[in-house]
Amino acid sequence: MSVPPDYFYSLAVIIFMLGLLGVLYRRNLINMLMSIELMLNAVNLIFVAASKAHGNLDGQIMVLFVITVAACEAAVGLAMVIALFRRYGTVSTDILRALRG
Amino acid sequence: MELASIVFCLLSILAVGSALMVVLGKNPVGCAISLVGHLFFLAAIYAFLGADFTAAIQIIVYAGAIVVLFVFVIMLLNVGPNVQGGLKAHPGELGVLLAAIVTFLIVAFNLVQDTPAVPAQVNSEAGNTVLMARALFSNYLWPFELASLLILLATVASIIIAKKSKHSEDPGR
Repeated sequence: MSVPPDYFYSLAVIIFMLGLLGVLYRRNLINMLMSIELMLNAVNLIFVAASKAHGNLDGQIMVLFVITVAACEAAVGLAMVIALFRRYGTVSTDILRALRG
Repeated sequence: MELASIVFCLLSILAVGSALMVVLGKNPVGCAISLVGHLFFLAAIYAFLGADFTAAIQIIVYAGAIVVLFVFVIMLLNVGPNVQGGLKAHPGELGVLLAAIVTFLIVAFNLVQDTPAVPAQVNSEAGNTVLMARALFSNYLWPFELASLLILLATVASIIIAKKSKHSEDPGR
């Protein structure tokens, strides 16, 4: 690998910030969940790049567990979206604002 | 410029572009398709890094299962581009500015410091998958079993949450 690992870290930071902005500024719950997936992917990229840079496999094992948790999070989150849509008829955070304060 | 740098630049531009399409896209279905593209580009980066098993898992689990779940829910709820798409009406320029500044600082700090690439021994004697399997079923056996329990719990929880209850028949706001 001739590309230094810092480049991968930088790419991961950019993707993470894009996902964070998506979570903060989207109005659609499904799009917010997709942005959360973007953030988890950025962390996975850092794990894999660091695992490669240090010659240690533990980072890739962690990626496996992060993917597991992401799958569970997506399943539960989408189930909550379905329940909310059935209850309120919308997935927009402009209307679902009971906890906004 | 050597080949590896060109491949990395191409993959990172594609990954960031597809991530932008996920964040900024109007249509949720288009966002999901962009997410598939993004996950494939990240899998290509993993393969480029020599983590072939992680790349395969990325494609199978993320692009194969999670995004299909997203698309399925989008189709189920019939969330079109006309309903609740787009960004917020006043997307708080301060937050975007702050995120841009933080990103720029971290990236600049990362690129300025000059860490030499450590020679990796990950792929040395056996394949990546063999080494990962050895680690996963010896050192990480207990977390592995706990992960299966977590998946079971998430399955049951999703069914219970999404199940139609008797009390929520009226669509009151």
